Amino acid sequence: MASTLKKIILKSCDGKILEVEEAVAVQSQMIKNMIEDDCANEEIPLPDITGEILSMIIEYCKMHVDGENNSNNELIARDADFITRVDLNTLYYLIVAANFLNVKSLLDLTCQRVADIIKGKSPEEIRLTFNIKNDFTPEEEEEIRKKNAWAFDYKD
Amino acid sequence: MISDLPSFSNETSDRISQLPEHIILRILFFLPAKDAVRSSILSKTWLSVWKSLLIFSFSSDAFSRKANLLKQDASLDAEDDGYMDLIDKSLEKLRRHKEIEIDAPNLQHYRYCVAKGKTAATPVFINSARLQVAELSKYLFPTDLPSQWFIHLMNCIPSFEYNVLRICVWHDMKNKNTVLESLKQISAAPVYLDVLSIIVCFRSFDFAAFFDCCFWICRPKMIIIKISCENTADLEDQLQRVKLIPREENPACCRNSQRKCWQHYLDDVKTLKAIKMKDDKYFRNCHENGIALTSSEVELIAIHLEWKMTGQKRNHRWESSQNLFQEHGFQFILR
Repeated sequence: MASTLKKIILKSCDGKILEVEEAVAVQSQMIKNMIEDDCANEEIPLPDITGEILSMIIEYCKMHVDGENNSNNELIARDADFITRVDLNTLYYLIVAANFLNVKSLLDLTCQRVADIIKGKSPEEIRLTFNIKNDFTPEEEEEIRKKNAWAFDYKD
Repeated sequence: MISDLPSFSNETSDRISQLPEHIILRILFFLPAKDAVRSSILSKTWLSVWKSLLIFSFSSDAFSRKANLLKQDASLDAEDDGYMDLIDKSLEKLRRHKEIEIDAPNLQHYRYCVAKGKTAATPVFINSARLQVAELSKYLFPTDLPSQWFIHLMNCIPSFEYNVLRICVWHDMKNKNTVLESLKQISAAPVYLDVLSIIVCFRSFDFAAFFDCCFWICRPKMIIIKISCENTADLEDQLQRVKLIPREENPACCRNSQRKCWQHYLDDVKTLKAIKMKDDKYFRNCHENGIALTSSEVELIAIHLEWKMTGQKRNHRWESSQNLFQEHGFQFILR
């Protein structure tokens, strides 16, 4: 069928135009829905996604389409390679874009990455890493610690 | 491992907290339970997010979310959707260990079910602030019930908002009361439960003996009994016996015991008219256990108990338990 060769045209918020094979584009549930509703014949504008992020997402989707026949372990290794190259800023934009485009496996991969960064860190370290401002008073903080004391027990 | 990350540009804005809540939840989902709960202290945005996580439960009911099973010297941390089977299998594997600890802060419904022919000696310790229903199920009770299990359960119950202890009895208890008798030896203070729910599947269940043992360790506001209808005449007779036990201040009933028995604390017993219902699950279980039932209906009976409170005063009003039952889909009419 010709449909496998059909190209979908995506336009990023900074004006970059990208042509993507349909098989790759439908990794995004949002685009898949648009194709099914016959709304993807013209270029699809993506208001919150920059060209740089969009290219990365297409790279990721392509990797998954091309790697369909590969073993699971191979894909996991490629995913890991892809995501560890990404800095925190980019990671944030990838999450936002994966959420908007509804690419579930990428959303999971990026969220998992954030979790891995958080894992095992003290609250103070996490705040520092992500610039989270502590808006609790020391008393409030103490209260929260008491409520779930077992979780703040670092023994194991 | 901050060092292996390319630096976080020169911006100082807190982007991660601006993510939609469902994404933050997804991030927490990938964390071990302890880390997920600790996120509450990051900032006000994060304070309550983790509470929406559905945390794993052993029952097949709606609550599903990973739990950390921490056994004595190693830990098992699984985090998949097809998780329930895994937990069952893990418990099976962990059985040879002395103790299982479960970190499941949002666990609401905990069911401990043991397969036929298996013994369950492993006490399970649950870290959960939100546990509402603890269920001992199927073949576990009464022959295999470790009194240790009860002690652990006692430890985590007092912080519940309301508690239901559900016990399913599929075995005939005749001549097998030794485990129950051992409950009398537990010296921990009894726990005030909202509901003790008992599912009974054979004819000769000795309720009087059962309650006599059970009330040493737990004092429910309400007992719900699910039983096939043919048993109910006998039950009422037995309930009369519970009611008629003398409750003077200093009777001879517990002269040999170090502490006063539960009968001194029971103020009143009210039986409420129950509803008849069809319950396929009940009958299927009966059938699997080789129990033939003649009646095709199950009767739900509620017994309301009033206890003299000692120590910490607890709000103990009938209305509140009535609401509780309506929440569970039961309706009772005062008899």
